[in-house]
Amino acid sequence: MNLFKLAFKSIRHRSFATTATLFSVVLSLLLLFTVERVRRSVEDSFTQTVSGVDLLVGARTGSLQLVLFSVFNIGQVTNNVSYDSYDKIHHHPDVEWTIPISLGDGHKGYRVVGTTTEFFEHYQVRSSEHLKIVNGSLFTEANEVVLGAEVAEVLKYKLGDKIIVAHGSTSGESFEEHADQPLTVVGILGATGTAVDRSLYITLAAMDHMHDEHEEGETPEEHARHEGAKHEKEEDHAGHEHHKHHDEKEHEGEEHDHEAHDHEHHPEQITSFFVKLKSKTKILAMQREITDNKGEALLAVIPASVLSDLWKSLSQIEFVLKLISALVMVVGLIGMVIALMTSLNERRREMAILRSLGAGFSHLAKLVLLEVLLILGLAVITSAVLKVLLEIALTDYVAKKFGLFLTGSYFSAMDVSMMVATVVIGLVFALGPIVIFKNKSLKDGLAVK
Amino acid sequence: MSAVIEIKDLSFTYGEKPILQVPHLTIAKNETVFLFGPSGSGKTTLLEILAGVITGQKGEVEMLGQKTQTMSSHERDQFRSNHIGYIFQQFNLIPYLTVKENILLPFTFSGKKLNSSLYDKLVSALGLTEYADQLASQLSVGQQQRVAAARALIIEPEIILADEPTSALDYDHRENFLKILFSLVKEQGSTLIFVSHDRSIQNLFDRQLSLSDVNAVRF
Repeated sequence: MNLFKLAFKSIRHRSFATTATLFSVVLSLLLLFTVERVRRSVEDSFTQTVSGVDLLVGARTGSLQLVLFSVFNIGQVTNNVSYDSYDKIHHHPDVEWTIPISLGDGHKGYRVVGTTTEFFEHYQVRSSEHLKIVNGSLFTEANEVVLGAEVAEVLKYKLGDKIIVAHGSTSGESFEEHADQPLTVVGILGATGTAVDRSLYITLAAMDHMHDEHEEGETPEEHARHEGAKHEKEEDHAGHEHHKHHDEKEHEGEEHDHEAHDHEHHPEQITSFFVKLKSKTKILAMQREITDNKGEALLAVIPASVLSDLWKSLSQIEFVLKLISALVMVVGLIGMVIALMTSLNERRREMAILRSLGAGFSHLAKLVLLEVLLILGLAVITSAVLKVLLEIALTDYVAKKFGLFLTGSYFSAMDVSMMVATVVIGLVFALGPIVIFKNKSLKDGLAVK
Repeated sequence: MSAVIEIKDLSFTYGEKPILQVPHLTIAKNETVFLFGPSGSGKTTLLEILAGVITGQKGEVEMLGQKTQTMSSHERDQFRSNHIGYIFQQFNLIPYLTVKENILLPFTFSGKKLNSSLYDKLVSALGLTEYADQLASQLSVGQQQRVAAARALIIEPEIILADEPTSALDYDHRENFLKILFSLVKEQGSTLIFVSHDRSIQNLFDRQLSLSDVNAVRF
């Protein structure tokens, strides 16, 4: 009989202790995997909230601030970008596409974003995931709204529901509501685990409408008629110029409402916009060009790099998560070592019998190491399989419930090193009892205690 | 006849308590010795010293011309597994191995070659054939003792140290055991030290040795 078979039989004989050890190692590994997974997901969802975008352009402010309000809805928008500046960059030969966003309204604590269909077409989260409409369709009219996954989930909205957005409020109840302009839910986005889930999307035109006009009790349909009446009244007081200009603009808007809704109804201003260039090599040149723009004071930042800087500045969070990982690992390994030591102590007599039959220290060491290796190997494999299965089973639930997206490979470098460390440390500690045993006399070992 | 076991001025104390004091004892090759004495007189201790299970004695013990006490513990273990068949009083079987695996266990650790006809012979003579695949933990005490005997004899040792090997055996099994033991001793030219209380069998042996005759320590 070879040592491997002996080791296997010995483990099987102690099935209870073996199972207990296995269980404790598997549990602590799973705990480690979980902490590591959460850390990775948090980092990913943070640094990859927006991807596939080369530049983010806004009015001159702090670059962090620009990213925070454009991507995370944190902080206040201080300045807007004129539509002209946007249009100029939009038509720049190096630009592939742009996504304008216009902020300022909210709905029950959620941010309302005015944008174009380009947003749904190009905006990417987590390296290459496009936004998906899971229910309904994109907006086409100014009175339509597309909801982020969390908004629909929490507020229990379904297609066709009418909602009212509030001016200037993204947190809590608002004082001023655009009650006159109810919006119809036409689409619901799939969950992304990013700020997109917590936003409502409307057309730039709709955003503009609401802020053009603050008269009570007006619906968009009434708007035009009302406008005309207003202008007639205004004629006495104000100059012709103004009237004419306004009328023209109004007319233009209406006309285009029938053609290409989201492109042509220009607002005066937008909050910021994302830019994708035709070539990555142009990013820095373009960034400089925009920042050095003589006309309007603009700021262009590379969102990914700002986010990654921000994550680094929040390195304490990461440190704490890593510390927890390390502590969990230490506790798990201590438990494993205790279990090993206890079982080896119980086997004092068995080891002595083997010695009496000619087993040397090296035989016993090999035997014990083989046993530990079998148990730990099994534990590592079991925990890895369980991890993958759990991730497959829980991905949707975790995304929905906690907004954590389990993306990327199943195992990070940290996961792998933890598995290796478990086995190595286990083997090193297992040698302890054998060394102690070596120095005891055979008589001691054989004694029935 | 050359001496296989030679003891000179051996003394062994357990803590402060002297257990053994043997001025001189020689056992020749192929000699069979029946060792008896009252309980606690040090019979097992003497066997354990000879087998190198206990160390720390004073004086000289030579086994097959070698001083086991100066060997490293690994060398001693190897020496034992190559040359000494020790039938322990406590049997010392591995509970989770089968009868066959227990009997063949010494070959896992020593370079010796298994003599399979000897295995068959031992197993059938000791009435273990039908239990060969049973776990040691499922055996009766008598069966365990026979497995322990088979395990000691399978390595064809030059020296057989048997510590009350028939204590748990019934009459038939004892007879069979003694028969095969003596036939092996004869065939292999082994030397046998047999510790027992059972004086009825002492005449089978070349020499009857009362421990109190060789041990200077009086209890």
